[in-house]
Amino acid sequence: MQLDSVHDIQKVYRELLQCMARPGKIADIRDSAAKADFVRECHPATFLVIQTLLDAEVTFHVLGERKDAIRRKIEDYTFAGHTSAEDADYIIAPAETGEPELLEAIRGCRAGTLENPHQSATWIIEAGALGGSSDWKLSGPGIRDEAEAPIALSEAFVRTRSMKTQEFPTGIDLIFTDGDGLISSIPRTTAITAKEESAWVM
Amino acid sequence: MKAEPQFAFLDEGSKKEIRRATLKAVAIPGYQVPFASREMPMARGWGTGGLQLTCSLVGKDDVLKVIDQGADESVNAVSIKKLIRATTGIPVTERTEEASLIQSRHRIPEVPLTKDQILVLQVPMPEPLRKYEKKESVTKRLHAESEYSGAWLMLFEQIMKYGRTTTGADHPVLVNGRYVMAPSPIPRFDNPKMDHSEALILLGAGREKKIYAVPPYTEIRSLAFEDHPFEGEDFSGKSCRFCGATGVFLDELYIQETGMTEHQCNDTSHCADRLGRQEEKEVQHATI
Ligand SMILES: [Zn+2]
Repeated sequence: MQLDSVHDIQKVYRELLQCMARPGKIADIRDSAAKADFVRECHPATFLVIQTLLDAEVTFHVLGERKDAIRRKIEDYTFAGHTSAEDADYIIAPAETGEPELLEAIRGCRAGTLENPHQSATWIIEAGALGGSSDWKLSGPGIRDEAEAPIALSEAFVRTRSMKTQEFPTGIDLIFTDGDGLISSIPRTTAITAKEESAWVM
Repeated sequence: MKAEPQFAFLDEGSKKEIRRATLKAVAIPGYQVPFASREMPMARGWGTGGLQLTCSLVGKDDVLKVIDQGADESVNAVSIKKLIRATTGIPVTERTEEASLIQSRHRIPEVPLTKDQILVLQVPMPEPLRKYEKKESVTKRLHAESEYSGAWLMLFEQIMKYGRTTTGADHPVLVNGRYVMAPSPIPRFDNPKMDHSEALILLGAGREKKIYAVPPYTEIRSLAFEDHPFEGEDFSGKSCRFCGATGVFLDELYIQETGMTEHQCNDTSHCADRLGRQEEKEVQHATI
């Protein structure tokens, strides 16, 4: 089956929207991802999210060892302009991106301004596998009581991301993808706290 | 890739831009995200903002409901439904429970919405501070600084003058403790439905080129003072003359023959639904 640039993308968008609206929710875009199996440079789910969001009106940056191949793929398919991590609208962190590089890019990327908080970077981060257990829980808008973090997150990652989102409304919004066609999201409004911490508070 | 041009009226590039803005709006609850509003085949101010949101959302598996001031059969609602049907082929419904997408002007349906539904509200004036500040550059700064004393002062002056706030509809709300937001011209009665809503709520202003959002389970508080708490329109002791409903938003009408004032459901599909179920019961009773 061929990927349908109207209907598959619409389905991906609706799942992505629900993920952004319900942090921690894991959505299944497997059926569409299976049609993007011609993509070797990144997860098919990553490619679909990129296809849903990017075009010539926005810029992107790719991290990691395979950045050149992925960059070409994105340019070919979306006509989005490549730029530095400091200026990009969308930053893609492929699976093998090293944590130091990832954290440095998070620290340096756009977080928007108090007047224009939407002028911030949106991250597309490839994860090993979504689901599973994590040491973190989520709370905030879109979450009734609490939600489980969709992936295992390192303490350094959580700390760096919290620094970047501490002055709401500025901040960054994260989209996670995995190799099985699953996606999830953690927008800037979500508080990520250690499970142990809350047990201790209680 | 196979291209099927103009599914849901808008070209894919336009949808993409609206989708990007919508995701930002969801990530920053209550903040008005600018977008490049498109020309739609109806006059701006007639729901083109909501319509563009609907076009960016709708897929082949959706069921659409469109309401205008509580009625599914108004001219405006019908023309929006026609456009979506003609360009997507999806079914439309009047029953709130059956719809996956609901576009509305001036009301939130009486039937509680679910997590599987998205509510799109049409917005004529997205800026709640515009009543006292004309310049966009200034209102943007006021939002940036959470400088909302003007909004409070406006309500305070109404209370001093009339003994209560006089916002009939579009009473401003505070979203997630941060942004003051115009909930669109829904009656005050509907404001509490936005608080910790199960459904995602998206708001679109075509003429003003703004998209904003209320994610599910998000705190929405109507602006009010401790000694003048927020109150919705009061319908206590009143009921619908057709279906007998209480605790819903009622329209008041003067019946000339009797010289009496009577009430009926503003949400006509909810009323019809209740009537239908009552008739069913009567039929069942009759056959037993
Ligand atoms: Zn009724």
